[in-house]
Amino acid sequence: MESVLLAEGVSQSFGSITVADNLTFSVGRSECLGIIGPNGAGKTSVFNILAGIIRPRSGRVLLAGNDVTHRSQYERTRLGIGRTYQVPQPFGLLSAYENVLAAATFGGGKSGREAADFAFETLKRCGLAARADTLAGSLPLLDRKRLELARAMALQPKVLLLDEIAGGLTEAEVRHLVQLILSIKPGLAIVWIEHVTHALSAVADRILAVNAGKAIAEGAPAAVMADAAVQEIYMGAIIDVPSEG
Amino acid sequence: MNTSGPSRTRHVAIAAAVCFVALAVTPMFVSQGNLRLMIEIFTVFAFAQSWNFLAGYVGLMSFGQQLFIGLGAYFLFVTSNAYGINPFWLLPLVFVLCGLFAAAVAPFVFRLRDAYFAISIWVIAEIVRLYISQKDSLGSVSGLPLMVTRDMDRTVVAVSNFYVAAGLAFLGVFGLYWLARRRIGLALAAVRDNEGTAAAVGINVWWTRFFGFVLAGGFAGVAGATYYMSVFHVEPGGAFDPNWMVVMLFIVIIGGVGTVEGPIIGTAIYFLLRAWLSGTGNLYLMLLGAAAVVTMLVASKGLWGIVTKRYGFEPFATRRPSPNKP
Repeated sequence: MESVLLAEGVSQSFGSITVADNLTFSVGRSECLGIIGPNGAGKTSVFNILAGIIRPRSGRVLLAGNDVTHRSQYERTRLGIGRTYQVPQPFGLLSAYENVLAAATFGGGKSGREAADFAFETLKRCGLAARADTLAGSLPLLDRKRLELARAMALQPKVLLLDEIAGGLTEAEVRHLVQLILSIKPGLAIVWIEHVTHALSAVADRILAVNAGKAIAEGAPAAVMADAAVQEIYMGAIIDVPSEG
Repeated sequence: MNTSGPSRTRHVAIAAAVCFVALAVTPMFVSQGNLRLMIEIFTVFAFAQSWNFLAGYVGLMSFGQQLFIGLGAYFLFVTSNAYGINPFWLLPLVFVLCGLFAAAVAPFVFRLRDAYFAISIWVIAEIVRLYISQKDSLGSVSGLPLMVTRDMDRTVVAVSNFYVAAGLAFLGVFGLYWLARRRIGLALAAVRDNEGTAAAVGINVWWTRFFGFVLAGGFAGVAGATYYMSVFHVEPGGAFDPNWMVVMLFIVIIGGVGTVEGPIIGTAIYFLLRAWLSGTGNLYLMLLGAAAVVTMLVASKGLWGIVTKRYGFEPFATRRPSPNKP
């Protein structure tokens, strides 16, 4: 499969903390790559490297075959990298609708009626229609999480980077989220960092396990979850591996 | 009041037309003394609105907006005196020069954050003030008179000056409203609220800020030039006085930062307090400060924030309503 996003030998460290140690992975169209690893493994930093917030010390990031390693964050957004933040980062003094409208306008390149309708449709898909005109800063956490996804979707990216989007959700909400992500997956490349492993296994085609910036296992979800090295890192944690994965 | 987008825009357009006509006929009914007071009110409102734009719409907290007031005045006086040009024709040039000055310092001050940024513009204002104070060709500490308007008809000068000041106030209200509702207004609001997320939705944060900073500088420059043109004299101590910054802060904070309406109320309160307390000497400044402190404690979003909260009245609301049809 031709990769939409390719990270090639990416390395970066801050002081004694290595966030990426010669990491190579790729994700193709209509594919979802899950990333798991203990807290502090460098997962979010890898996203920051992909999104253009941190430059890797070595290695390259390729988007649809083009080297974007030296492109800034806003350029990568326009080229098709959309992301959500683990801790929601809305435009607090703008309404939920305006948050998504900004994404549809600047990242999605839409304007006028088209941008307005698309932004609202996206909000609706994420279950935020009733909250459209509420200030994003006054939304409860769950709605802020939904807004993260709506904003990233409104960019109509080639690659969607999801950072622990299921964390803190109830079981029913997780099921709904999984359905939503499955519905947008066709045609899109998704990289999803998640601790809620059964949600990840339901969507991800492959899983990459990282620890201290190093890839320790990669492959089918069930195989990675069963991997001895992965089990050891999650020592004591019960990993739920659904058989229908 | 839940007015939909297009109808609200129509209300504002009607208000703009009414204000335009009212301002246009004002000089026919007002004495020259009152005209002068109105020039002062309108230009001070324009100063405040330039800072409100910077702090509440661009998200740049500057403590040195007096830099552009002084620069605008000096650009106008020096050019007009040197070439004998009618100063009114020089106002567009003043806008460009002040904008260029802002553009030139932006790459340096934008490297600084928050308080450091705020102070850095103040420092630049002090540097420019000291430079002018030591330069005899710029009138040093005693300043410069405006030569060209001396030979002009006083009434014509006063009325022209009024129209310029009124135009700036008009732009400060309707121009700001218009800008905030444009595409660039959305980009500015996004950058103001969260620069990281702004970049994550494809906004070029640096250039968006740059645009706001340059526009606010140019606008304050023209307002400063207009203010000092109306008093025919400029000196560095007054033009670059940090007290201008205090006045702008007072007006915007009392009224409500980040709203079109707030500084209108703030300006009214400022001039009313000044009129009532004018005999109290230094006590006046303390009372002004006390009024600001009380307002901040009681209403963190300014007096206009209370009006909006209690009555839902927001004639210049720049929020984009969703196409949600219940």
